[in-house]
Amino acid sequence: MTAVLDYPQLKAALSKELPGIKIQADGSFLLVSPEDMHKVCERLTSLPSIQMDYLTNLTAADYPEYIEIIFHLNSITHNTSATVKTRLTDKKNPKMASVVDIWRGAELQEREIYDLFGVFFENHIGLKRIFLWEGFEGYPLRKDFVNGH
Amino acid sequence: MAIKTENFILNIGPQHPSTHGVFRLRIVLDGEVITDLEPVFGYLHRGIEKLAEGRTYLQDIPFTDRLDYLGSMTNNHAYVMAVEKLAGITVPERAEYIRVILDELQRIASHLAGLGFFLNDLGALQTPLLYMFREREKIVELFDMCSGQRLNYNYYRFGGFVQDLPEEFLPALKILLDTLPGFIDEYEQLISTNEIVLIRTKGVGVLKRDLAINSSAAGPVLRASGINWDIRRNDPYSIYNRFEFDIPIAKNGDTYDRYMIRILEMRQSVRILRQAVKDLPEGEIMGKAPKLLKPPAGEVYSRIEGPKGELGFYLVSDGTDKPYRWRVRPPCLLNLSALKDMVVGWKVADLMAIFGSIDIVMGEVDR
Amino acid sequence: MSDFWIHLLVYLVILFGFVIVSVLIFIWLERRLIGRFQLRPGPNRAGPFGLLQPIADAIKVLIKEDIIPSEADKGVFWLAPLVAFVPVMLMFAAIPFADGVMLVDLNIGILYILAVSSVTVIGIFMAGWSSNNKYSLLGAMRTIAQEVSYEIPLVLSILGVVMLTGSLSMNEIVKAQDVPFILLQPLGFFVYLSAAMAEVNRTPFDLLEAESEIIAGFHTEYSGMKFGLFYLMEYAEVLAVSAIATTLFLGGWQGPLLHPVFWFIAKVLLVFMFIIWVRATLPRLRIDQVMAFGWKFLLPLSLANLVITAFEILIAPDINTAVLIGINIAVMFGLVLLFSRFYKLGGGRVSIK
Repeated sequence: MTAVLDYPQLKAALSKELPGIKIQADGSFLLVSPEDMHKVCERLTSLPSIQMDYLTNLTAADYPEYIEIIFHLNSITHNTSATVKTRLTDKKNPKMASVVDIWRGAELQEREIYDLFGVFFENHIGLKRIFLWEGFEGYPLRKDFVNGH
Repeated sequence: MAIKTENFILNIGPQHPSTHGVFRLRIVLDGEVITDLEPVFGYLHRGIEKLAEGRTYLQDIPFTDRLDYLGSMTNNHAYVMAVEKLAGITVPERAEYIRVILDELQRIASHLAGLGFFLNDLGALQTPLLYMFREREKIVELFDMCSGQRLNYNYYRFGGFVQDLPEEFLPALKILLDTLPGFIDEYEQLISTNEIVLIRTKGVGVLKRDLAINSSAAGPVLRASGINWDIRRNDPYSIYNRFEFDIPIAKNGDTYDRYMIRILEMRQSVRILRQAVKDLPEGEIMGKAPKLLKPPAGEVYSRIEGPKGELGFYLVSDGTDKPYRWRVRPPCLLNLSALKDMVVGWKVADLMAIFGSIDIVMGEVDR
Repeated sequence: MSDFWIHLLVYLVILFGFVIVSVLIFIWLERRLIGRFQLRPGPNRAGPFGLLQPIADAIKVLIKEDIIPSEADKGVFWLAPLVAFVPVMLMFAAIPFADGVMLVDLNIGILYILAVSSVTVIGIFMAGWSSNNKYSLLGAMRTIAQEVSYEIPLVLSILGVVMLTGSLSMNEIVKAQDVPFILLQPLGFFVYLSAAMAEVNRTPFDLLEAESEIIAGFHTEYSGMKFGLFYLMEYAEVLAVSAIATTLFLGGWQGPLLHPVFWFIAKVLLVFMFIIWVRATLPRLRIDQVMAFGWKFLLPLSLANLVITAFEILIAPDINTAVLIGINIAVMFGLVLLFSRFYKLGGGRVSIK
């Protein structure tokens, strides 16, 4: 059975590694601020007790105040899983650092989030629309995109 | 005097006999050797995730059929399981056994289609394809008996099934289970001892272990590279922990291994099917589920081991009868993440072999 | 003098008719047989047992619109099917249907046939080049490489037969076969058939028209009657290769009781059905593997065949035929198995910096 990591413990381990980062661990996920996301992901893959080497799912959801980016991670070596989220409050120009250099599997999923939500990922190796054609205006999966407008 | 050469850009366009759907590849060729590759997606994008947000949970079940249209039963199962977790619905025993039976039959059918088309891409002129479709036809007829459809079944419901299996189903299934292993042996022997298939596939398109994990590959592609990861064993869902089966793993990660793993998986599926048919209990097939489902607010990520890999659904509910966010984790798209590394350095003919061995269905890549 | 012209005219008409009718029958036969191999009936709608299917195909091809790409090199584009088709027809001039029944009994028969059959390569390359299409160019380049490399084993495998007969004339070769040469030259037959299948682009060497990779290779841009000519050329070439194999190795028109022409056609059909069988069963090779097969496998084998035949003729010309046959078959199996252990097929991955 894949064991879900204990989030308060995870928060404690990460806070010890990276002092000063903003993490919340209430409920069933870990909430990190967007600026610290890349460093946290690096630690999650490199710390030998955690070793989240497999990025299962990377997606986004549009809420009224923020766009939430959700990472579902797995560790193949330890058979554990974790959910890490971050919230981007600037909905006009949402952006965050890309994690392509940590997990190659993020490449196509980040392009999808850019295409359908409009989130810009810095340092991505080729960020452009993936499903919709170039020149398409708007970001369809946002809640304010209704009926093709 | 040095000869001036120029690289040559070739577009393997959306309409092509071998791209398993509408898929476009731009390759840069140096003679016959591929030096660069750029896939272009989106020719079959229908916006299913957005459409699903405007319909109720029950109305979204047919959308799942049309994702990987060669594996509809497993798609249905993944979605229905996610909603059941979200809403706290329990499924009775008989329905769970029937789900396992239908899933494993779907796995065999999907692998037969995938292997047949792979051999077609190698150039064997549709002969193995037609032989494998002969078996797949029997499975599709079984599905036709239960659900009335031959391709997009729409059979699973939250809490079980609406209609029980018809009486002809189990006898026909037993006959199929007796003849199928012989045919699987025949396919393995006809193709795996063929010199030409061996030289076209052994050592071609190797996906190394670390890259496989790092690029989120799943399913047979991951297991062919030597990683022991199968959701049915590592994160069991439904009643898979009651069955005995092996997980075939290969070592090299080349095209031949990806092909071989699918044949071995078919044998294991037959094993599971025999056990499930023997233990199938009587009882009701539908749990308690309200007619208009309004799951409590929350989110869930649940996954199954589909024939192409890990198929997951991430659902966010806001308490109404329509989902707030409906996300599919597409195994076929993520299996393609490392395509460039697998293909660069090989020739155009190998591109088709490697691509066929990953076994993708465009409906799931583009959604 | 007028005898000569009458003879020429009559034979021209007969040959032309024979080739066209045979090609139509071959097309029908191939489609039905491949259908049967794939557990399906094959064409059975047009006429009883689908016999009118090739005629329906021919009519369709004739009435289709002839599309020429605007950027294509028009002169070359127009000429290519002719340059590819005419030499194939020319090959039939020197093939004997019965004792002396041929258009012209050349005393350099087999040399003429080989020379003329090499011209079709130029036609194919012209087609690929003038189409202004990258797929066609890729197909054409593969063609040149393949067809030129397989010429050498083809010629060398025939030389064994020529040495046994002592003459290049096709009629003499048939007459010299008290025992069909396939028994005296099994290795030669094997090399000839493999090289000939590669020359006419049949599976497993059909990557020139590999439908699943480059759509249709050199004839992607052709439609209408020009495509019909290419299609006709492919089957006429297979017919020619089967006829040559029959003449050289299977004893031509010789056979008891029935009329020689009947035996000739029966043997040609036998070879053709074997070629269809191979097509229905095997997948195709990659271009570098095809090259390796021709140069590293068939060429040494055909040279070995030549040397062994020369030895047998010089050292033991009066040996008992049965013993000779036994030795030859044993030598063939030995060599083929030995060679297939030793060589590596094709390059692997090219590392890109």
